Amino acid sequence: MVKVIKVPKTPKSAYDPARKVSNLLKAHIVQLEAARQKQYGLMAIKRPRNEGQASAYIAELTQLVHPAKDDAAAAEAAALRPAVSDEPEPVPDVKPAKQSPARRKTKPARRRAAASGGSAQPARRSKAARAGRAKR
Amino acid sequence: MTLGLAALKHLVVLMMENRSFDHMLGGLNGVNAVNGIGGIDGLTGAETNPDVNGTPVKVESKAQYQGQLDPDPDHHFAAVNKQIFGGGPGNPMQGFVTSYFDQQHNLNQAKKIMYYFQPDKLPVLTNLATEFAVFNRWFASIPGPTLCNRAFAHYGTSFGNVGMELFFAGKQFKSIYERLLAAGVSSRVYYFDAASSTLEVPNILANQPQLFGTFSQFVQDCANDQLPAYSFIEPNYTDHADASGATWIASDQHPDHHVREGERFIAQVYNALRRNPVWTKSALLVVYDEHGGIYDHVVPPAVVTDGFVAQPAATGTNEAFHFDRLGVRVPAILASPWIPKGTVVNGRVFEHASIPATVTDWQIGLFNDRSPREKNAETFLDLLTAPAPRADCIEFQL
Repeated sequence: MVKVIKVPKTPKSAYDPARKVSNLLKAHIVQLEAARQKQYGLMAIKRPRNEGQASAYIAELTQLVHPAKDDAAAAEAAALRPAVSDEPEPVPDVKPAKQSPARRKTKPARRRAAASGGSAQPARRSKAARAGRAKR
Repeated sequence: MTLGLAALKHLVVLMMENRSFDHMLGGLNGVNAVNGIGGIDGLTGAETNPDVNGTPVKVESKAQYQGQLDPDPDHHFAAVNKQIFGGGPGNPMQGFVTSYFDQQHNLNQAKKIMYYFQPDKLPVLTNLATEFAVFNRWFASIPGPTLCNRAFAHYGTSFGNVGMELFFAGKQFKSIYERLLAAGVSSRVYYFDAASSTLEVPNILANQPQLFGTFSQFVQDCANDQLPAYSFIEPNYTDHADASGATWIASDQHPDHHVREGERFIAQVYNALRRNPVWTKSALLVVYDEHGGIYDHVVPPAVVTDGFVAQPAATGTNEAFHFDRLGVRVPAILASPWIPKGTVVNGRVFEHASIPATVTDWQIGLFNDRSPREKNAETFLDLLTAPAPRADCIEFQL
């Protein structure tokens, strides 16, 4: 007899992209910037103030130093590639997404499956969803 | 060789963030003992640390998922030194409350460093610990922060670093991934997604993108039986929204990220293996990189020196560090259908160098070009001792 253990959901209130950037994320960004510099030379640096800003910048840096393999993701990565600049640029403010309940309506397939206790394998997704997910 | 080791084709390591053994599993004290001995080495409830007035602060099962450890408890080398030795000579592990007090000078906040979770608040971690193998003595490799500790999991050393600066590329010992690549063995670091990324960045990401994938790919690789021999999984380090507008809550359990989301992530990793045929030829190690400044009662032991020295300016303690003792104890669990239910690993000391040591011994065999610490590290695949793959392995419903 296999014991099945129910794991409660995390409350939506846990989501806080306005949280102050941790020392770990600061160090993480410095490492990514160093990797980017190794590949592309000097480029603008950013110093995010909160986790939302940090994650956006980390995504941008990651897609530069580790281009995704499939076409959709590669196209997205290319689109996100910043213009080369010698000037540091300000980080735009990122509004906390928890203020917008509508964001929760578009759960990716993997999370839908997980939430319903289904297979861990992602369900098939639409072309648009695949492109969105591939960026991840 | 055990039947389990002969059957093993995939080892998966999931490294979480910044929680001590007692904080997460201390409430399981004595569980899975045999004839009253050898059970999980957790908390009796009588453990204390003095506050700045000398008043004893007792451990309490009041840990919450979020909102309690803010500010993030200091876990840089000097702070951890105080946590371990701050109680004075012959009185170790008595400086946690005073160390946390240093950050805000708030007595009520400082005592929260002694809080631990009721086991039923962590159904994933505690069930994995009691159903499979839990290590009573797995320590962080360094009494310091994240990156130098994670380096031990990848390289078997931090090359003399005790902090967050890790520009290792080209150093003398190769990462476990580079070793496996040279040996023709598959491996991959699966990071959660681009907005979370990998902490193994400057060392191998730039030059070896073929060694990296995302968590979605891990799930697919499990389903399609395409998992590499060795996988290292990184949780989500950030709260973020993706291009579709979906929001993702950090799952690394780093304070002050929500611990339950980390529980769910551990369950997702486990389920991805458990619900596929790959399960019968896999083992999953769930381990934390360091204790995050949170209380644990076990004194970190001495260990063979690493051959490196961190100077006083790096340690912040006016003393050099010779990498001759371990960091604070962390949770570590090995799950596999080949592990007898309720295994408690006693009498052996593990650290993060045990990870590349185990993978190298398993996949490469004799390999001399590695750090002294790794050469002396315990390996753990001998724990796959079940006579046949268990059919009663738990499942998680998310």
